[in-house]
Formats: sequence, C-alpha cells, structure tokens
Amino acid sequence: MAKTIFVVDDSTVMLMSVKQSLELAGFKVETAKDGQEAYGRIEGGLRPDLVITDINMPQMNGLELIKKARALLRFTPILALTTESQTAKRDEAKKLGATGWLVKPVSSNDLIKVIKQVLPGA
Amino acid sequence: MPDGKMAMDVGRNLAPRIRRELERLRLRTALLGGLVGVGGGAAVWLFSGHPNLLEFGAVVAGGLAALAPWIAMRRTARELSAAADDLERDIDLLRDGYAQSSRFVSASVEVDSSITPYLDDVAKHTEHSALRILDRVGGVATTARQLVDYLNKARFESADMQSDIDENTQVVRRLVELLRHRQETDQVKIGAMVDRIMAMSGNVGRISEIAKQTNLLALNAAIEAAWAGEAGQGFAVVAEEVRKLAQNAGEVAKGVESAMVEARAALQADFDDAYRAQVQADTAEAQKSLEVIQTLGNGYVDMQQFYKTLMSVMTEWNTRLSDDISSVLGDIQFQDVVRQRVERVQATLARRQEIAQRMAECILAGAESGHSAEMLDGIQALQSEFEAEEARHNSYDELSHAGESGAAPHIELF
Repeated sequence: MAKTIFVVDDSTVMLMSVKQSLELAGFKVETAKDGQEAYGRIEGGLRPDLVITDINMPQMNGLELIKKARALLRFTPILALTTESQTAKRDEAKKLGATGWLVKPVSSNDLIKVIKQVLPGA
Repeated sequence: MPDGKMAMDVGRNLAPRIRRELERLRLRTALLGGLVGVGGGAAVWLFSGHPNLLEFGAVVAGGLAALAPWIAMRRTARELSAAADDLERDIDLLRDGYAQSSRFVSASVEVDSSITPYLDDVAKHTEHSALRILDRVGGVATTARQLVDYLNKARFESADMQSDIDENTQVVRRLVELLRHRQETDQVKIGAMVDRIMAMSGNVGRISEIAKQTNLLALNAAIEAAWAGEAGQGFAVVAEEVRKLAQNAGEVAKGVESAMVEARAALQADFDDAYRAQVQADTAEAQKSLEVIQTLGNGYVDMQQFYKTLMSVMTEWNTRLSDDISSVLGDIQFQDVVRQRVERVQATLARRQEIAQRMAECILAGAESGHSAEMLDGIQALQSEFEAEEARHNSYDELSHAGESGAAPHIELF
C-alpha cells in the first residue's frame, strides 16, 4: 500500500512541484496551504506516514506546526523544506522535533532519497 | 536648535532688519561725524583765545574732514546691504530647495508605491509560468509512463503470442507425426488383411478341391449304385444329391475366390495409390503448415527481440526523461525562492516608504531636527534588518553550488 505524505506550503508552485515528484515515485500525497490548515487536518484524524512542511507561512508558521503536530504524531518523521539556511531556525526546528532540514530548491531525486532514508520500506 | 525651515524663516526676517539697522547706522554716523567736526572746530576756536575767521574756517574744514569715516561707513553699509540682499536671495533659493526636496521625497514614495504592484505582478507572472511548466511536465511524465506501460503490455502480448505459436507448432508437429505413424500402421494393418485374404483364398482353393473330389466320389458312388441294381437305387439318389452338392460347393468356392481376388486387388490398389497419395498430401500440407507456423514463429521471435531492444532503449530514454523531469521539478522551486525574496524586498520598500513619507511631512511642517535623526536611525536600522534577513537565506551562488564539496549542506537529517 502506498505511503501517505502530507505536504504543507503556502506556495502553490511548491505544493504542485513536490506533489508531482512524490506521486511519480508512487506515494499518496495530501496537501495544506498553511500551518493552521495542516494542524486542523491532523487534529481531524489525518495520520500521514511523513510530513514535509515549509517554515515561513502565514496563519501558523512551520516551527509552530512542528511543535503542535509532534504532540499528535509522536513517531512520524517531519521534514522542514524551506529557503531558510541559517542555523538558528534549523536548531529550533531540531529542538521542536523535526527529523530533517532541506533548503529549497531540492531536486526530486534528492527528495526521494531523503524520504527513503526516513521512511524505511518506502 | 531650529531646523532648516526655521532657519529660512529667521533668515528671511533677518535681511530687512539688517538693512534697516544699516540705514540707521548710516544716518547716525553721518550726524555724529558732522556734529564731531563742527563741535570740535567750535571748541578749538573758542578756547584758542584768538578767534578769527580764518582759524574758524580751518576748524570747520577739520570737522568736515572728520566726515571721511562717515563716507567709509556708508560704503560699508551699502556693501552690507548688498550682502543682506544676497543672503535673502540665497535663503529664497534654499527655501525652494527645501520645497523641492520635500516634493522629491514625496515623489520617491510614490515611485516606491508604484513599483510594489509591479513586483507583485512579477511574482504572479513567475508563479503562473511555473504552474504551466509544472502542468506540462506532469503531462510529459504521464505520457512517458503511458508509453512505457504500452510497450510493456505489447511485450507481454508478444510473449503470449509467441507462446501460442510455439504451442500451435507443437500441435502441427504432432499431427504430422501422427499422420506418418498412422500411414505406417495402416500399411501394416492392410498388409495383414491382404495376407489373411490370401490365406482365405488358399482355404477356398482347398474347398474347391474337396468339392471336386466329392463330385468324383459321388460319381463313383452312382456307378457303384448302378452295379448294385435295384438295391442300389436309393444309394444312387443320395449319390446324385451329393454330386449336386459338391458341384454347388465348387461353384460357391469359385465365387468366393473370385470376390477375394477382387477385394485384394482393390485393397492393394487403394492402399498403393489413392490412400498413400492422400496421406502423403495430408502430410505435405501439415508439413507446409508447420513450416509456415515456424516461419511465423521466427518472425515473432524477431519481433519480440525488436520489442526487447525497443524497451531497452525506451527504458534508457525514460530514465533520462525521469531525471530531467526530476531536475525541472526541483528547478521550478526557484520560483518560490524568488517569490519570497520579492516579498522581502516589498516589505522593506513599504517600511522605507513609511519613513520617507514621514520625512517629507516633517520637512514641510518644519519639525524639530530630532525627528530627522530618528528617521535616519530608522532607515539605517531598516538596512541592517534587510541585510540580516537576506543573510538568513542562501544567495544565488550558494543555491547554485548547494551540495558541492565545500558548500553548505542543503539537506541535513537530525
């Protein structure tokens, strides 16, 4: 059965790009436009195998989403996919429970490699 | 400390005052010079004790000579008045400059305001283009996948067809073998049948011989019966009947023999000619069918090989295509990087506009210069914040070389 990946980004281009990459690799993809919508979906019962989230987003940013989602998705890997490259936010994300930090742009092949590392059997 | 506008106002009031004061100074100096000259001459004349008209005239001349400073002072006053005029003119120019500066700052704010929507438009254009590229890349990926699925299906169908051909070839081959075997079996069977007919013909011959001997025996019995006279009459009748019976048996035996000969001849003739010819024709047809099927099979083997080669090439192309699509899907993310950078520039421009607008208002209102210093601090802080914000994001060079040795890692797992 295909693994489900939850992609959260306020950029339509990013959402479409990552969704296509993942679907071509055989994953099932769910999307949300910001942290608030994403957290609402998780609260509503969505249980993805992996979460990929942007950091700078309106309504609720990625760091807050990681913090809140971690309480409900204790063992689910969460990857940050962002333009931020400095260590402060990366360290904060790590402290809040993120599994990895990816700086945009990331090629489809690299993304799939990382996903296979954090999702054994994918 | 008054700022520019206050200085202009003071300067504008100061110039007429300077001119008025100079005029007063000129009059007072002239009056003072005249009085000093006349008073001095009169004093000398009165206290000399020898006043005469000539001395008085000299004293008056000395007094008039004392007017020289007044003349010099008047010239200085004229020059100062001209300087005051220049000062007034410069202040007017300065005032115009201030007004122009205020208008320039306001115009700059308007330029910034008009640039912001265009930056929005640029971001929208790039987003629209990126989405169209994504749509087309998605279409290409789908088509490539469908093509590979189609080729895979064709390859499997070709393999199934080859399997059917192999099976049919085996069936026809078995049929040919069966025909050959049947021909041989039939040949053996018919040979045995002919042998048995031949054996039966021998038996029929012996029956004919027995009939002949029985006939002779009946004839001898009739002769013997005649020799016996009346007593042998009954025996003569039996002998006659036996003779007839022997004759009938002999005729039947001849008929049977004749039919057997005909049957044997017919069997041999059919087997030797028509049947064999038919079997050979059937075998030849089956052989021909076998050859056709084998040729067809060979054709399908070639076709299958072609499909395999095609699949191999297509798979290689598809892999390349997949890599290219992967790269495009990654590169398209630059749109988001650009969009976020544009948004940061827009935010900085908006804050700069606010400061510039306040600056323009302060210039026009003639506010205290403390406000200007505050705004200068604000604009410098804005620059620092912008540079710090940009430093948190990778530059083009860093993004272009991400993942290369020595460059900062762009993927990190905790």
